[in-house]
Amino acid sequence: MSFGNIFDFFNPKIRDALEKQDFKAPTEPQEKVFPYILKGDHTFLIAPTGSGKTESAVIPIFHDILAKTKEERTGISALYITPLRALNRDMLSRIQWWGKELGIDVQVRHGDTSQYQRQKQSRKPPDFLITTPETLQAMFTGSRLRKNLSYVTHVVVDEIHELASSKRGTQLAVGLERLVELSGEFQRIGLSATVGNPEEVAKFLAGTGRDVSIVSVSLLKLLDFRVLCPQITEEDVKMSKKLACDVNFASHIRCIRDIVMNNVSTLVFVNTRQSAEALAAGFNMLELPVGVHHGSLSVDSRIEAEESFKNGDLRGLICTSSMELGIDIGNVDHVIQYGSPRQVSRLLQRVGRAGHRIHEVSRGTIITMDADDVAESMAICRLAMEGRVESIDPHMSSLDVVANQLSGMVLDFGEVEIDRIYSILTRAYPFKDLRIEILRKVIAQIKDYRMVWQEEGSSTISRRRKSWQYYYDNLSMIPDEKKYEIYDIVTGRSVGVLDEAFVINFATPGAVFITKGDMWRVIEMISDRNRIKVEPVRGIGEIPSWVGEEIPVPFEVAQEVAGIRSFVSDMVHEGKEDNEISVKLAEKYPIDPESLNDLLSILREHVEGGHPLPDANLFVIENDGEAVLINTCLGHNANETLAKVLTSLLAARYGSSVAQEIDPYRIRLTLPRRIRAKEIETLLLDIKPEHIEPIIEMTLKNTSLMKWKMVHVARKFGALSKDIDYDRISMKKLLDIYHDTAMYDEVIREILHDMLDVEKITDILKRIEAGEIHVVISRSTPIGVSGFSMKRDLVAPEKADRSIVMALKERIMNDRVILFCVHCKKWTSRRYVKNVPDKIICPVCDSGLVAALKPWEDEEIKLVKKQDTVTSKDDIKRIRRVYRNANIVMTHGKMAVIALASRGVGPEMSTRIIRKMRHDEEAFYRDIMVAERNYAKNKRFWS
Amino acid sequence: MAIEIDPLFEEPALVVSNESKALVVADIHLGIEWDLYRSGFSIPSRMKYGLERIVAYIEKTSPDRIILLGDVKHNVPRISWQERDEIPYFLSVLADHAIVDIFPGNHDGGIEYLLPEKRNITVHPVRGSVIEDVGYFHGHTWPDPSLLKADYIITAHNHPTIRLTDSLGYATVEQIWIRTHLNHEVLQEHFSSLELKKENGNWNDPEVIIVPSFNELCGGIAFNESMHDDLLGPLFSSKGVDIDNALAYLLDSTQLGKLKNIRKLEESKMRPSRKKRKGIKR
Repeated sequence: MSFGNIFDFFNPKIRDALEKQDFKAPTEPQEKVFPYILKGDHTFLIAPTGSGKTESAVIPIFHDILAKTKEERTGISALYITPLRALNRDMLSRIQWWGKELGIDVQVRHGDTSQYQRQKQSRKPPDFLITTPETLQAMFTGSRLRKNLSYVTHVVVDEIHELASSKRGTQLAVGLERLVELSGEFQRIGLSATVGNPEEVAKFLAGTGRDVSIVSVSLLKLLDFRVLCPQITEEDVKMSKKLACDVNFASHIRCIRDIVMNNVSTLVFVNTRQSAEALAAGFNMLELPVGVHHGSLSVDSRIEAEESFKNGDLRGLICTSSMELGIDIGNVDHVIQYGSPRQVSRLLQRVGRAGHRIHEVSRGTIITMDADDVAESMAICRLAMEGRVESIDPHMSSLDVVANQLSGMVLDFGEVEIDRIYSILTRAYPFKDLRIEILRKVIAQIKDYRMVWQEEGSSTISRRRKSWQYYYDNLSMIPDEKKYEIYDIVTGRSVGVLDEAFVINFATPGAVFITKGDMWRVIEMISDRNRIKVEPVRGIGEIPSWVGEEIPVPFEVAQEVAGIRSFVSDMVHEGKEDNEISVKLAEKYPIDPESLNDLLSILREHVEGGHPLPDANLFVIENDGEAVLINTCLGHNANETLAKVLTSLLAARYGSSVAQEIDPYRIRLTLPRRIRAKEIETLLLDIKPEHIEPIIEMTLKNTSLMKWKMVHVARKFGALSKDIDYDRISMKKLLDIYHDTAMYDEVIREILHDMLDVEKITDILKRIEAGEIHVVISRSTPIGVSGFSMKRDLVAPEKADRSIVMALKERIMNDRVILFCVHCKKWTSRRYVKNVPDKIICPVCDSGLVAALKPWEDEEIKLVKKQDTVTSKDDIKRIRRVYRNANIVMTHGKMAVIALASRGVGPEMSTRIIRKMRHDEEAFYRDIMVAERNYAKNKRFWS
Repeated sequence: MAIEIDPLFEEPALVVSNESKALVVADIHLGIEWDLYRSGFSIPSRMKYGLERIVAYIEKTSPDRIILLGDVKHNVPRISWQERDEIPYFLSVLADHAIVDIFPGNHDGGIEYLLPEKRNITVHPVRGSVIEDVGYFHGHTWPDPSLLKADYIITAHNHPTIRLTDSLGYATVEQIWIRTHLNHEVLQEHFSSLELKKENGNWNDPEVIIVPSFNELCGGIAFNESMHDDLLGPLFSSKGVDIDNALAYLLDSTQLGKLKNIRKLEESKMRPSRKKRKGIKR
């Protein structure tokens, strides 16, 4: 038969199958992309989920396979690589149908594939293999599999946007080049969701020196977003009692319930596993047909949830990002995003799951939790409607991937020229700029860890025993995050889990931490059993808590939020009422007036209270108790960068740790001492833009972040094994030892890539210098204190001498002095320094001329008493010293007593220390510490 | 001649001057990298680096003897290939400069097989001995009673450190020197066959100096957070050493005062938590 379109071009078997499926015409992406793929071009296709994207790639490949001879089909013809195992299951059923029709063997292979299946596959390879990037890495090691792979002519990389931004993708890019070594060049087809920089992602697919055709299909489907901020009702109060939860949370449950019950099938996306579990528990108690699906559930319960949702038993499914990618769960007619989606691309991906048919509107509702969340969601919707999707930022020259792939390549080749490795690596886009010296540095390092063998001065490297062991342990670039069970020895029960990141940084025996609102002290760490024994403790301190990695809110979103603030503020200034402002906002943003209540009331309170408004051009610094809060609408990574620079400078200035918390709109800095807004303002205005980068690189090694990331990277370098006993060596020492290695450079690179934005902050500081951005100080503001969900890091000083200074002060307070009145010579008093009054008066003669002598200086008192009879020069000198001592005490009171009580500090040095200008007590004790140290250095270590 | 005991500024090493001059270094733990490797950490050997440091001390102080106060090596009961390779070399370089006295520690089993062929290396008894009125022993045993009549006892084993935790939860750990005295009562009870008395010439209330660990890869014991039962060695665990009134000094000489006062400091650092703020969700 004839279709009268491009379908006619295909092999007759394919045409029959199309007819069976009742496909009459290609979808838009298919129509656009078929010609390129059929021509043999490397092709990068951007199209929305559910637009027949998979078939766009697969049908032309089947066409090519059918054209092959029997010999050409001895091995695997095509690989279909997808980031998720779960994806494969559905793909399989769809593609296998085609395979059966066409006589093409389609199979799947991933981590869960049975040994029996694997062996069958290597003996009798399928034509078309669906797999993951990591399984491809594993396949390189089998000799029969390598033979099978040498027949590959087509590779599809699905959801490439997901891979390209992670190290998994960087590893895959090298994996594809290793495949080229086996099979020769093959045709590459990448499938992607909308990205901000299609050209770069296309190059990522193709590698260096290969041309690629880009086909982009705009969103066929209409997108419909709505931002909803639940207002508390009577019902919510009742429900909160029934569910024993917070009333706000009850209102969220109610809103979700209403949407779910008004639709046939609704996906509820959440940002964290905790909220997934909390919501699921709520719906469970309400006995509503809403299920849950996330990565930590067992495969069985995930499949069960997917199936129940597909067949309609469940009307709602709560899920995390695991559901973003194209798992087929049947028709979805509505998507709820619980909390801000953080990024435009996430909103599009998630809402794109609704209305899975072509030309159907995708409807999505964002349920928000507070004013920040409302504004952020509004901003993201608007950017989405304007098509401003985030760019993908691949990990370029990632050195742990090099280390990982080096061990892979020595296994591929046995022995291999470094030059050949270099050419393979640089063919991959992420390593196009890798320098050969850097490659040599990585080789030198992993050689130390016995991962590869290299004769001294040889230009080749070869495999050794540990190469195998390492490679099998590290097929994936996804870091293994261990979880530690917290075990309360008092009740003998488990009280929760801690992330490895937290354990590395804080959990040593004796350390106190908070979890679930209670304080615990670490008794013992049992690393091999991933367990930490704790006991409950009382007494309250400010204890570090850790929020792991978060999806960062981009600068653009935060700036749009600033825009919303300015817009509202202007209207408030013009005397507009809330309802009028709401109507105006609803014209620009998809939100109903009621949902704006919280946001408008905070902004109105802020503006009418006469507080300066933090927006794109104004930073507002405020005192927040002992801490300081800086309002800066710069997004997560830029705020993190600015915060790191400030904490680094403060840590150096005070020799103490500094805690920083950030969200996309605020930075909060806490020191063990009080700091004031004024000081932060001066600091901010004094930083030179060109100093940002060096400051950041210097400070990173003192952050908890660095220690945690180092463990991940060091594992990929083979320097640390999977199970390490943190008791054995402190991370701080390890960082010192690993300094100046390729591994250390990689940690810095990764942090700069993932969590910081040095360029942006450099630019911001230039704009402050140029007077384009202003910095003001304010009393506490409504916007400032409305912040929540802060992300925290603790920055240590280069030398933590504040704690030492405090200990030194304590020591001096517990030292003894002899107070002796040189006026009447009748009064002497021995006491602790801490018991000396601020002003010292002799109780006998009311004179202030009292000397503060060291406890062993009784002799001086005798000398003063018989001064008229003293003749020796030395003795006269000693008497003079006592008088000088008394003079200083009379002028400076207790401060002089403290200085005189310290080691090796006489009247002259005391005067110098006391007279020095300084702004606080700490600095006074620090000067004493320095004076004592100099004395010890030049005279005696201890007296 | 008066005995002078002075640590090197900012180094975990001590010079004892009497008739002759001795350089004291403790807990070198050669071969620890091998042990760390088996615990999952790959660290290239740092033996050369350690040797360079000690040679620098020697050049600075020109000692007549070098006293290695125990735990020269690390792995027990098996001696690693790394130690077989490194220890003879390490000791022979030291012996080129001065007499070497080794006071074996708990990690030094088999050290006698690792000595280079040089005559000026002495391995002393485990319970220590007295050299020019100063008693030395590693610290993992009771001292020989002969040490009690010395003016000083220099020991190691516990890797003394101090941990100061600020109110944000950041802990800074520093190595320390400890200076203290023995508890006569405890020693008397242990050496019950002797009557420990100044008059009997077997008790001189010696000052005890605890040397910090030379190897920076070994952890240490935070003396301000430890009571006697956490401390290692029978002399310490049976409260034979006065810890409360022990003085702590940083390696840069900063005197931190008595441990009992430093302990109090820890507790006073707790601050009330900041007030719950609007918008915080639990």
